[in-house]
Amino acid sequence: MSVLPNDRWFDCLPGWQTQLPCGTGRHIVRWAAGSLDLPSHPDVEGELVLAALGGDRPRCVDLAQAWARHADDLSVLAIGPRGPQDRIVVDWDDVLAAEQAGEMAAGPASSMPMRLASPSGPTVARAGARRRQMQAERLKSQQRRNDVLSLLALGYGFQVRLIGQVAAAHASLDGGAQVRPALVAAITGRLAPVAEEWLGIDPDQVVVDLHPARSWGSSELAGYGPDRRLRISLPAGWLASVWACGLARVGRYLIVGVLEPGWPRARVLGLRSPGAEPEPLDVRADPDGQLDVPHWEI
Amino acid sequence: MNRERAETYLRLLAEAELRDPSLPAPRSGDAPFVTAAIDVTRAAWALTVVGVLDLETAEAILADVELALSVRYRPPATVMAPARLGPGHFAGGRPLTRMSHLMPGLPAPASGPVPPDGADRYVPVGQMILFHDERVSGELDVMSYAHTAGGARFTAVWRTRDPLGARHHALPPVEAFSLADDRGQRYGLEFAANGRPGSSCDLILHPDPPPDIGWLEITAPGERAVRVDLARRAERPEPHVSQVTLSSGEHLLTRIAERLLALAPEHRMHWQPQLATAKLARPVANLATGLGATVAALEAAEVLPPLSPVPARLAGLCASLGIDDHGIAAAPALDLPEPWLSLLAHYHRRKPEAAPAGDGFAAVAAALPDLEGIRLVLLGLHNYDGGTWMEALVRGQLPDPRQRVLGLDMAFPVSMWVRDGTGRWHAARPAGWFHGADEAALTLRLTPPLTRSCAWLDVLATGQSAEVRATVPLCWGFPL
Repeated sequence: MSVLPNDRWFDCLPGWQTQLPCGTGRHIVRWAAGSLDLPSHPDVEGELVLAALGGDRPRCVDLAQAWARHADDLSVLAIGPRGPQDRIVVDWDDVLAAEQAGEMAAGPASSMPMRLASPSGPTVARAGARRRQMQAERLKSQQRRNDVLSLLALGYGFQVRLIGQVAAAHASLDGGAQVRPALVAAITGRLAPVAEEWLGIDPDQVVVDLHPARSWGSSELAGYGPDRRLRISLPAGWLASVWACGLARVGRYLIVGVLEPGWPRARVLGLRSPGAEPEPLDVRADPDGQLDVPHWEI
Repeated sequence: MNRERAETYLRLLAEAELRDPSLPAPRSGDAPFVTAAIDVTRAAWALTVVGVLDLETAEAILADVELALSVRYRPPATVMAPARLGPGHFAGGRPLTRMSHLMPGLPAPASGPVPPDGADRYVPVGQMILFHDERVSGELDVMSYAHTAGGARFTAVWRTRDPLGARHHALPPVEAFSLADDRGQRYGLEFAANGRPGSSCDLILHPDPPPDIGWLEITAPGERAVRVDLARRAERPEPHVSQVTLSSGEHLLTRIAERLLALAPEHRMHWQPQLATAKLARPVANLATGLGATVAALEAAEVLPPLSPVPARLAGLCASLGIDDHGIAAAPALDLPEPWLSLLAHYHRRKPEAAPAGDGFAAVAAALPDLEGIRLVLLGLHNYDGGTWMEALVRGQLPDPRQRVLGLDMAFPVSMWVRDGTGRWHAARPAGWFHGADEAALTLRLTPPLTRSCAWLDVLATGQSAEVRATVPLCWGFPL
């Protein structure tokens, strides 16, 4: 049974927005249908030109660029939340503090230790090149860290939408063995707490395999006691179209795919128990409820 | 070897850590940053050392784990603070996790070419060169002469005293020494201690002498010339080479076991069983922590066979050392390798504080057969201040050693043991090395130190694919 194409993964998610400090005020950042929008900055290109000429670059613009840089970054899956209970607490003061700390750490490198024998010219040159390389790597990792902290500071609603975007980007590609470990871990980390609620199973007993096809996958519960295992095979797109949309568990069902996306109504595939055939289910979200990630009911 | 399973295992281990309900607890109340759990870092290290996971991937995973942990950090309940990260709780002031400064390089590739023996020359010397001037006096105990493509050098131990006779740490004034060969060519000496910790050094000849000189006459300040006969050739021990088939995971676990054996006496662990519950010395406990995760990671990566006896031996060793929290699932084995048992027996049954041999040096020049892409040339042995050190030259390309993890030098691809004349085994582990172009100066430290100046040593060098046993004669000299 085919499930939702990855390029429409966000159809079950309503738009979402937040505010962030930018310049001397607070500006709105909005997400809708898979895109980030900066209503307070209608001319981003022009502001980038001004910044290149020495002006301040608005934080909103920085943030949009960070979002684009990390839209297929698997680290987002490793760092981001595993579920609604796994709240990440980063605010803009934290981001600012990390940026300042990074600038201080990027100071001049310490001098070389004294050695008994004088190093040769090529040795000194190699050491200099190595220091420059380390400095470049440090700046790059600091930039990456600041990016990720900024994206996390947007809050849970944006965090899950970015996770959905990253997962969808990789679900539509065949990244092979290079990306499978990260995707398996990302699904495991998010499915395990859901499975615990669904079956009462220890999260450490959930074993995930990456399902390569467009169909939903398979599931099996085997063993007893400490040897009990829920073995489940899911496509990477599950993270985007199901988990990121708040659909992972609806009622007593584990949702394994989306047949007809939409908000506030959708048609999904749900598993009543491991090993069973998934059932088509009509689900609806409360349009007046919390919308960072919708709550669905059958 | 399964790279994908290795990476998946490591990432799932990190996921399990994030689910750990004790996660919010910081390492200490004022911990400046949050680091990944020891199980994750050890598994990453092990997978990188055996070459199944590249350093970049391992670093990226650990960096993500650290950041994931730090953004979830909350102050302990007793601390009256808002439920959010304070600036000081980020690792913001430090770069993302870097393992490279902690990681040894990969083992030397077995196919790496060892420079041909060709005109290489190794000569046991065993002569003492005295020197004195108005500031310093002392001696250079010359153990060997080696001449390779990297140059000609003596390997020596040095001792200096000030004019009042007290031990002094000034360097010997080798720039004031004069050297001449049997053809009248004169040379200068350069003092080089790179890769030679403690009191040993290399004295490099400039310019490079011809390969076939017969002797060198060394004249030190205030002393008469001493002639060093270079006509003696290196010992060519009749080595016994046998094939072994250790997986890279077994090799790593064996090296960890040997490091534990060497660490325990250094930190004066209690060997009596009734004291086995005494608190372990921190370096020993650190090395033993996470061994279970290391074994599991190696098995997941298919570099440790499921039926390998090595994890059980390691567990048996931990039991003998009174280490409980290693986490190895295998039941402890009793059939430990002979060198391990020898070392354990020495410390269990005898007094570890038994007096080591007095200061002395032995002339040695013995080239062992190629092993794991390197050729080890023994260039001297000396006792000093209660320790025993073996000087060596490594031909072939060793990887960049970088900083060692917990004292484990995995970049040196060979496990080394020596057996003395009484049948007692001593672990020989790298205490320092320095890379030249195609060779490295290497110093090995023996644990336990020799307790007598024996006439020969059995050397056992084990790599992943072969094992070399050789008997090396020693010619001792003693300092004044």
